[in-house]
Amino acid sequence: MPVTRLVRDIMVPIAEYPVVEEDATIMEAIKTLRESFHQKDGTWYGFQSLMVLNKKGELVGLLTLKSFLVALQMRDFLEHMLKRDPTGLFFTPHLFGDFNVRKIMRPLEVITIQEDATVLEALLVIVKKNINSLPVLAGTKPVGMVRTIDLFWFVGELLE
Amino acid sequence: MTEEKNTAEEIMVPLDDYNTISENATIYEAIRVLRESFHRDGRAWHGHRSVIAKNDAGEPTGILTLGSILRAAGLRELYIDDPYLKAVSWGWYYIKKLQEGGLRVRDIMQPIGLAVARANDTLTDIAKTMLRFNVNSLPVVKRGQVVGIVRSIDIFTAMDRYFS
Repeated sequence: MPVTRLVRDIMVPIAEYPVVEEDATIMEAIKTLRESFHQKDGTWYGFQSLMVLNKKGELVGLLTLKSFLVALQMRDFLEHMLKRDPTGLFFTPHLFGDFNVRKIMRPLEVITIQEDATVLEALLVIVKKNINSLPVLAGTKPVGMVRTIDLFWFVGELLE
Repeated sequence: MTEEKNTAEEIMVPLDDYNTISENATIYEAIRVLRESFHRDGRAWHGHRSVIAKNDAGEPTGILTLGSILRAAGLRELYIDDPYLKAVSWGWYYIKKLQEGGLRVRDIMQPIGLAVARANDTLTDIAKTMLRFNVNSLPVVKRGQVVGIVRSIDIFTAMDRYFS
């Protein structure tokens, strides 16, 4: 069996990963993620999440496909409220003004892994937390992302 | 207020586009078929990350995802701080777990009946069902038949006009 592989060996480096600022609108986040599809044409992986940075460039959260489903659900909820209560319209600009990335992201402090952790440790976190994207840190600095598909590929190689 | 026009049937991936596997196949076979599924089209969003499980009669009975494979080895019960895990080659450990389990596709797949989208469900309907069941793929049912699979990525690519 091969020597123990580390998270940093299989992660996608942060320089290649799509990022968005935490006060960006949902639409801006959608556009950024879509553009990353095209840049990555010809590779076997695509990106299904975005890293969210604050003004200082620090990683504060993660936008996953699930976050976008939540956005859709929130929008539907707001629309229903406004239909039932016309006075709600007064609050519309405020509500939609607040409808940014920060509202739907998965906060960073919840789940991360260090770059010198083993691949198995990453696998355990992803399986236990039932997530698909796991941000990788060197100390407190974000350096990459490891995803279900990276781990699956690695498992498949073991069987060859 | 604009009406939602996109339905599950309009944004889904047709069933025939997917690779299939017998629900009685082993996990090894499942891993091989999934890997071929990515390769088949090479590009990021065209290689499907799931395959359809079928019974002996050829009827679809489940969706096999990457996550179901990774979860198959029973890692959920392990503890990250277990010193034993640090000591062994984890690849060896993982394969041993799979062998001991003797699992089949039907044991780890997402059953068709767990949660479904109807052909005329809107994007919001589908999003709600996915969030409720915490899944990224749903079978699309029309007149009692599974006609395709709708994924969270399909919703993502269709939803932008709601936020413009």
